[in-house]
Amino acid sequence: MVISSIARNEVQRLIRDKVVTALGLLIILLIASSIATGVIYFRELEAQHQQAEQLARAQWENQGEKNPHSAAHYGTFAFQPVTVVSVFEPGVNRYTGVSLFLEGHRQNFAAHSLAEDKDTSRRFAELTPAFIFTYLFPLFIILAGYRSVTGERESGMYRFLKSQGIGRFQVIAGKTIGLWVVVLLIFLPFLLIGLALLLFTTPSGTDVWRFVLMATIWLLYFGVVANITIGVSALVNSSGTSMVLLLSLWILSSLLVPRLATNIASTLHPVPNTSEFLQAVQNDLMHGIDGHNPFSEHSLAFQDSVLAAHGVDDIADLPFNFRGLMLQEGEEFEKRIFDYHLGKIDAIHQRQNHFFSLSSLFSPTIAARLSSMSVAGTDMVAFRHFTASAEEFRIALMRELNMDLKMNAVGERAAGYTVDGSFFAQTISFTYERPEKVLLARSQLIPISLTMLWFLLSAIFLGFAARIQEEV
Amino acid sequence: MIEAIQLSKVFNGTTAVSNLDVNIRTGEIYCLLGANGAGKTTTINLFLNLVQPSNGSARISGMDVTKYPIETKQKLTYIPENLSLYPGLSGIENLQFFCGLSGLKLTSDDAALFLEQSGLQASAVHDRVSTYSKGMRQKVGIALAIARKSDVLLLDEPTSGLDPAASNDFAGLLTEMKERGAAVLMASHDLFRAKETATRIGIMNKGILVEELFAGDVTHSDLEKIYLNHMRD
Repeated sequence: MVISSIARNEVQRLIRDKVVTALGLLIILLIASSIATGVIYFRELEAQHQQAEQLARAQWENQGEKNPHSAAHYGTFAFQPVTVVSVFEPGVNRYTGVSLFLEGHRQNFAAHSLAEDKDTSRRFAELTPAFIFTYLFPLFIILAGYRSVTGERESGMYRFLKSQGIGRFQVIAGKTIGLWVVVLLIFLPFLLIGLALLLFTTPSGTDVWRFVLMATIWLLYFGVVANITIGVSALVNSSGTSMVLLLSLWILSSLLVPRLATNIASTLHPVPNTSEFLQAVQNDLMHGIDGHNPFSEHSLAFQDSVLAAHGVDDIADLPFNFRGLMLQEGEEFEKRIFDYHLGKIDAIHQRQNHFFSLSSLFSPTIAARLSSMSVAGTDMVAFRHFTASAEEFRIALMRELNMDLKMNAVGERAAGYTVDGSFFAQTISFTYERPEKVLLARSQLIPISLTMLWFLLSAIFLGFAARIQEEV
Repeated sequence: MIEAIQLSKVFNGTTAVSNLDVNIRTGEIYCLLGANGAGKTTTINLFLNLVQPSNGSARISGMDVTKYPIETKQKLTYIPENLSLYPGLSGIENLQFFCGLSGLKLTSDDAALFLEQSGLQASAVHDRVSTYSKGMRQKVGIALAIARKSDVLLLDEPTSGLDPAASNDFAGLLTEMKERGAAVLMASHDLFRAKETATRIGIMNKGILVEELFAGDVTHSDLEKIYLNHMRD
């Protein structure tokens, strides 16, 4: 009863505070405009994707008469579909890109183009709903709540409340609930717009879950900021000290720790630069079959083994096209080499990301942002899932091309073998199936658990601030 | 109704209140006079249980305030020198809020009535408190006491800074509260107002109640002489 009265009063007080109202409206305006921008971007991207996907497939199917292996070099594209959830949390999509060029002999690593070297703080710097929730909304909470308790103390209200028999716990609990209510009031338009977007588009069940989880994570994060804000305001003596302390914590959590964590992660787990990577791949490729070089030591050894297995002396006597077989063998060898080297880089990135995730222990901002990207399906784990699917498709397509060459370019047809245009229309096509599960890796649970831990710790901190005995 | 028994408070070795014995009955206004630092505000704080006594007991309606902190506070209304109200809320909203804290739900009409009873103009009750004068804010405090039917009023320099007319209005309100049966303890510097309003007057110096007298037994000039004599000690 008392707590709800104080909470109601706090809401009333905050709503009538011109500065708080102006800031709240500004935040709502920013959220609305960032969603509008996001929706425009989403629609453009979706249309571009459909167009580009159709164009890429049309180009692939209309290559005309051609040797299948030439088509492998011609290549095609794989596109990661964008989802409406990415309007709110684009995550790493804008940095990694959402398309991949697929061709014979090599894995193109748009996802691994050392793009992941880009420091994470830069990934935070877009005016998206996620950016606003990460940086600006906490500032609003701090500015609305930093004097919740100190202001009452400074004006004598706190003493007057105590004279009414109101305890410290009741004052602080009421103030906290009041601040939460105001936060919810400002967050509400985001929820409504989000739900409306989900209703007016055709989301999968997973998208609805993703949105709900994302909203829950942001609310938890705001709860952390609100709890700390009221707790600090209750523990210090003046509003000035409260504001300075809270802004320092904001700088620490939002700017300093992410920056430091990124730099330390890169130092502890350095990623080789592009030329080093390519050189290492090239060195290893020298130790296996090159599908285009029949005279290399490895190619000749492979040829001998194939001839021996079929009991013939010349590749012309084989019942299939040896070159097709050798190209496929080379492809599989090259895949192993690329898998090995990209796997090493991937492992380094995972160690970096793991370190960065753990730095959430020192920054609720990192915890919330990484969690948000994870549940939105726009983090590196989700992007890796896409690139792995694209690579699977690439290998299947190359096999299809090489097997055609192997099985059909025989006898008289061997020389100058080509397939007509209709062949390419029958080859497999790539459609990326987004995973049904919201979370794909255990590592994604780290920031989510730490967000919850932060909420718990902030509640304990608030409880501590509310239980201190004092004489007024 | 308001009782101090051997009540003492020592802050870091400095005695703020020493062995205070006082008993203020229903329908009585007791004015504590004294210079700054005499121990008047500490005495009020002890009755409010905002500070813990070093010794003795402070009682409201027979209950020790340290043992019954909630029950005793439900019986009293405290009006400090500068009554803290929420400036963004109207007089009515402030009164509704503070009454709500003690479980008393007031309609706007009820609140307006109490405010008017406390002498606030009807045209001002809907205005934001930020536009109120100090005297008007003090009247909201009296309205709170009326609304809560408080048996006890604790006032800390309530007329300090009020213009004579407002101070006179406030004294009238206190007399009304007294006639309603309230026991009033008022700390003040204002000898004239104490003489005019109080039933009894206690003079404090360095934490000690050095003299107690009935207001009706002394003239203004006698009171001033007695007071100044004690202050020279």
